[in-house]
Amino acid sequence: MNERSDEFLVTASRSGDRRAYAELVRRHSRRVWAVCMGILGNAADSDDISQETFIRGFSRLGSLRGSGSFGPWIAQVARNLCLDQLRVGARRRELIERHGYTLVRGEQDHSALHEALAELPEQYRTPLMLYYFDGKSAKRLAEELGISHNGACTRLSRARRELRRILERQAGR
Amino acid sequence: MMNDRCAETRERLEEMLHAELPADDAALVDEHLAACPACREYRDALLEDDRLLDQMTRSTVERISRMEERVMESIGTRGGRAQRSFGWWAARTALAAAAALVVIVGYNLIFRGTPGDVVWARVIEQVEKAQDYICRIDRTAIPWDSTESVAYFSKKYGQKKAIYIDGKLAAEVFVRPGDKTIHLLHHKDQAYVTIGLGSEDARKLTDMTSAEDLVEYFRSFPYREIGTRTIDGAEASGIEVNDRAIFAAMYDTGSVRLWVDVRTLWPVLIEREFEADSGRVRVKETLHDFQWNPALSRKDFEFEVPKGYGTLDLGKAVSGEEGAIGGLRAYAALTGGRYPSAPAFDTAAGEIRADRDRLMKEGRWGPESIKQLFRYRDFSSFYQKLIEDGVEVEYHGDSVSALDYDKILMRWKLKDGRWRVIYGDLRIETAE
Repeated sequence: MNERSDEFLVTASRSGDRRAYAELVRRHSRRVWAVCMGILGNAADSDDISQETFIRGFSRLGSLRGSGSFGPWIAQVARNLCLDQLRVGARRRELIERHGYTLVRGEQDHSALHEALAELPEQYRTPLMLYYFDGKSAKRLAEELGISHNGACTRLSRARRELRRILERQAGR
Repeated sequence: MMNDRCAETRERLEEMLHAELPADDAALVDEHLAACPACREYRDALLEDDRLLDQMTRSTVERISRMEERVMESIGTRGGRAQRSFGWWAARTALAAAAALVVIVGYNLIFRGTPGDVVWARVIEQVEKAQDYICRIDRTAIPWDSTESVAYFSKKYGQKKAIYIDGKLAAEVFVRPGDKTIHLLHHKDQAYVTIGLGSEDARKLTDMTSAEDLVEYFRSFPYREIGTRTIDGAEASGIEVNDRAIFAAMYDTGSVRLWVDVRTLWPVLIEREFEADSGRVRVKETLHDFQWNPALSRKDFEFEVPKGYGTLDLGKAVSGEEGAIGGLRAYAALTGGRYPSAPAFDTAAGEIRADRDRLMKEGRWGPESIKQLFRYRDFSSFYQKLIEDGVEVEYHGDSVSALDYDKILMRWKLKDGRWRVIYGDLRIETAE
């Protein structure tokens, strides 16, 4: 039993209770970060977009239908922002290629694992990130992705296999 | 060479990783692994990847916390990290946190009895069964700074407390069941502080991670009904205990109030107030915003010492007379021979402010001074134990200093009717 449900916290947040919203942020920050990392494959960008997600979420709580579904709603806000970011990134790359600008990137992730994750296709990276950052539960992963439990296990299995393939290739080069 | 059995085993290994494989199936997997080196290699790689990903998740927790802080800052609930400094007032927070944890230890021992009222008995029964809970703790401790904490308690994993001062995350305290060390990440000073505990204190501190600790007062002492009020939009009913034994004579007066939601019977507010030294020391703790059984996991209690943090080991507790004398001696050394006017750690830490300022001016205040002050907890614990034992203990720190070699600083009655006496110069003797 959870006395302070998401529903309660959303209602309190809508009436301006910032502490209640802080609790929602704490509860859902890993999940949102995982969604961002899954789509973007870059930790620094995931930080920025997660932050933006929660800030926008606070001002747009009024648009949330059904105050108990904060988790899926904020994850969708994150997905939308990530897709915007990718579009902006694509536009920027296009400009760079056309004008020969130097690409200045933010913080880089140098570890082999981060490199491998960045290389992993999004359809594999997202389940992995959600699984590891959201409680390591295949059941929750299945709910999040809207697929069966067996389907979630299969995705995880394939994602790990692909990740291993990339890591082994990196080690051999 | 890979066959169908290998393919099946590799799928099952995934399920084993999720802890979802029945024991019989696991035995079949083990049997195949014993005979197939290729699948063993596959399993090792799988475990290694799992370990790596787990490691990455843990190392990312800190950056997610920073992201959360930036969000809070943006929406106006708290600020960012404080500037680095290693002054007394910053380090004092560590002491405050530790003192709050350590001083309370021992209360459990003096609580006995059964619930009186049927409804309140149900409240207590419900709380006792809770596996874990989260609450906010607002603490005003004059003459200390006020703190706000978010506290996580789990019977299985221990406790974690994130302490905020002026809305900024100042420190985090971690206690694990059975661990004889309190771990404190002092973010304000970028220091990792460890506080050693004796076996008994460690056991009692572990007991405090249970929600039972919240209702001990009301299970064991006569309480009075204090009516109803609306809390967070719900009707709440309250009871109060103000028996002197609840604060083990560490304070002059004190009371504890429990408010429960009349509909759910879960506590919604607990207020603890204590006063000592004619009102110069006042402690008020308010526990609110409870979340009951939020299914906390091991990860909620894990921590890593951030890079660049200094370490400060406040040492292990020393029990008995040796610890008590050592604690008083350390305190007198810092204050030029003065003892605290009352035995509580709160009083001692509060009354040392002027001495701290003097020592800082002289450039003689540093981590060693903090260690020295912390030794005073050994005296505080010893005094509390004497109170619990009911041995007519008297303390005269308000009128006796280290120069008063012939005056009694403290005394308590022995079983044979004689007195054990500590004099102003910390000589200890048995007297008729």
